Amino acid sequence: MHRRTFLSLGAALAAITAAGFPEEVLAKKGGTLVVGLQSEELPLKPESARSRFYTRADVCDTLVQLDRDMILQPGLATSWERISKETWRFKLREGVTFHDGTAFDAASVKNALEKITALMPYAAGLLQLKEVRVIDPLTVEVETLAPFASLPNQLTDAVTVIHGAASFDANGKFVKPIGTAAWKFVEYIPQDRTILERFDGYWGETKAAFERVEFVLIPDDQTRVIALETGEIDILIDVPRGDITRIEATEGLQVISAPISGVNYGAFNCAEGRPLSDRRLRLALNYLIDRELVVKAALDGFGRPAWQFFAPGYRWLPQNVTPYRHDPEEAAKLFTEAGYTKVDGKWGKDGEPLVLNVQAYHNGTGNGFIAEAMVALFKREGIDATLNAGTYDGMVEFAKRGDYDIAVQYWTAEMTADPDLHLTSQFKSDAGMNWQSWKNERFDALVDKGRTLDRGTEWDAVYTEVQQILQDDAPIIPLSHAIFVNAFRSELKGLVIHPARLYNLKAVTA
Amino acid sequence: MLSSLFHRLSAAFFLLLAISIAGFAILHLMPGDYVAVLMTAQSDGIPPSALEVAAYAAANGLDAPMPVQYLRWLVAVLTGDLGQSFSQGRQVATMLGAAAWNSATLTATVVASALVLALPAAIAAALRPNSILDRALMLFSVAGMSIPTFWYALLASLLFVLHLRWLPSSGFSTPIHIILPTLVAATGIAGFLARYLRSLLLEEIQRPHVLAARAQGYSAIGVLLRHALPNALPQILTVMGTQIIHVFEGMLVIETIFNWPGMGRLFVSSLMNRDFPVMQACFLTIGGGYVLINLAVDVSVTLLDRHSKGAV
Repeated sequence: MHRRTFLSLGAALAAITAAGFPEEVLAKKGGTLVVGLQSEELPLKPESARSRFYTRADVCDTLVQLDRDMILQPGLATSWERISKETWRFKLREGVTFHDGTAFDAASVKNALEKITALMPYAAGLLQLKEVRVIDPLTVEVETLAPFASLPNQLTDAVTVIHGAASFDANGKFVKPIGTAAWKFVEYIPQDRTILERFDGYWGETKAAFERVEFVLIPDDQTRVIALETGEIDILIDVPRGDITRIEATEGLQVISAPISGVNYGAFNCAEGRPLSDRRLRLALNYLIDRELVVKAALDGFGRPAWQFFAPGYRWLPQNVTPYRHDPEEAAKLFTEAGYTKVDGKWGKDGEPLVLNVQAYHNGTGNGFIAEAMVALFKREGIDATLNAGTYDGMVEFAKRGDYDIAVQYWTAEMTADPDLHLTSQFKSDAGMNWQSWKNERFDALVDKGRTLDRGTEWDAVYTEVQQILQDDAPIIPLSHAIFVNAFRSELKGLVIHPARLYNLKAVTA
Repeated sequence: MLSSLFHRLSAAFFLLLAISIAGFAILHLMPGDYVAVLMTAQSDGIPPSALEVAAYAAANGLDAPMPVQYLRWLVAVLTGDLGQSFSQGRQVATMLGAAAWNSATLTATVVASALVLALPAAIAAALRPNSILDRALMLFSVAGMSIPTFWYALLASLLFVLHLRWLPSSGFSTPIHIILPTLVAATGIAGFLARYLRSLLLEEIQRPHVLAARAQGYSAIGVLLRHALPNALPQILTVMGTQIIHVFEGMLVIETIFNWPGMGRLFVSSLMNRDFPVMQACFLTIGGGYVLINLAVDVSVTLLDRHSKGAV
């Protein structure tokens, strides 16, 4: 009798599972595009990790936009001109409304920029605002603290989006995103998803085909891939490297990849007394490492070999810079010039072998693996090196103490299509992230000059020389320019990868 | 018994205090300057200048000596203020409440399912020691203890989500979402639980009163259920307590894989985001949970088993 109870229980369980769970729970509702992300977007908190969500997901617009060649395009501003060294005048787009129905005008620009710079030190540093003046309903003037030629570029950064007045409460605190772009923010469910709805009053030419978009958090790499395969999500942002070829081979799924604005590089410790204070040695390492191999070994080929800091091929930056090349003979020559000899296959000086202390950290761009590949190649070429790959903060701690020779890191180098932000934060002798103890007076002077200049031949000349100084004095070893990989269900059309990682889901159709 | 309960409670209090001090110290000893790390996380990786760090530290009371900061925090916690999350700006108490509730729900279903799986198996095995069923149980239990959770979770996901398409891969929006994480966590401990129960029951079966009942002609299973099982209950409860703690450890992995927004996820993501107030609250909640579960087990064992002298 008891055995029979067991059996019938088992049979009941089998019946439930065989019938399967209601289809509608697993299937998506029509008209909704579901996007799987590894980390959570925080639409309600612009100041933490300065959420690029607003522009990536097309909830809000910036005054100026970047196209896929990183060339400035009209956004909420249709044109702009520099009317004095410190002042830019912007003509605004007519007939734009916010998601809450209020009209977009010069006053909204003033309000949004003032609120956001008061809220976030990053935004204040980025824009250097002195005053925003409303000239007429569709004209604003922006005055900066110092001559600032790249203000339109800075205004492409996601923090500078124009939020509606109701986005802030009476105390200037951010409440929720009310934008002007293709999708309207509906709901944020912590630890789960962010829901957007098509905004039918959108000013742009491309009208979204889908009614809703859901950004779903699936932190685990494998689970996220499985969710794509079962159709729980339609688009997978940032495919785990190990799964790319398999997804490509899966029927019904497609992979899209393209270069984005990011570079993995090793910063040299140029401080007095460290081996890499010698410029010849820094150059030698740059000639020694075959970046093709680094990218192949560390990223399965999903990276572009980096022979200079800013990725080549973008029209916004002068291109006539001499990149590094893989040239072991040149490297050996430089080692010898610096007084090093190769004994038993190991480079050393005065009887002491050269040992490099490499610090790195792991992140989604394969930074730790890139450092591993570099160290393996050092060893093959007769340079002893130790690698410590932990967290970003750990690396910074070592770097600040000067207890390292190479710090391998990731940086989004062209986010605003202007070199100023990156050069002043990484390489100037007073830069917050210049742990390299690298100082080049000519470089500092050029960077200071460059930010006051309008685009033109003089600007070109300054930034050509600035880049060439980076190549010749070699404070870093560029390793890989990032490639971004997304996957999606084959029935979707119109997906692209933007160098600033904008998703542009309004252009996606089924 | 009341006085020994009081002793246990005061010991638990001091244990929690020690946990909170250790947690606070660990956070401040982690790599990177506490304030700089915090500000860097808030500005998308761009480190602040020394001046900005000093200003922020002064404005938020982070320039005070560590013991002072700890006391401030403790006073706030004791008055019910766990602070605000650095990364999300939400109240830590709200986040913690939701996460603890989600974890408790999952733990409860896991423990209940493990019992449902283990009890019949243990009884069947105890009725026929060394039978094929008994050996199969042994195999199952060793496998359950040895397979790493993350691998097992992936296998289950491949089978039930990808191949059979019965279950959703992750999330928590419908009741169906709880099935997969429950299955993975429950089968992991059910084997061990069944084996433990089986040996307890076998021991009980040998006792004189059980043998006497058998001699009077009661059926084997009837005696097992009516006499052996109730006697083994205190020990079952004790082992369940340790298993709940075991389940909780598994949650760190399972909640991440299946994106179940419980304590495990909250703890891992707060670590990743250097969200110190959340981390500190997690330390306290998890530590408190351990202490409370142990205490609850001891108390209930004492209440159930009059003969037990001083589990509490």
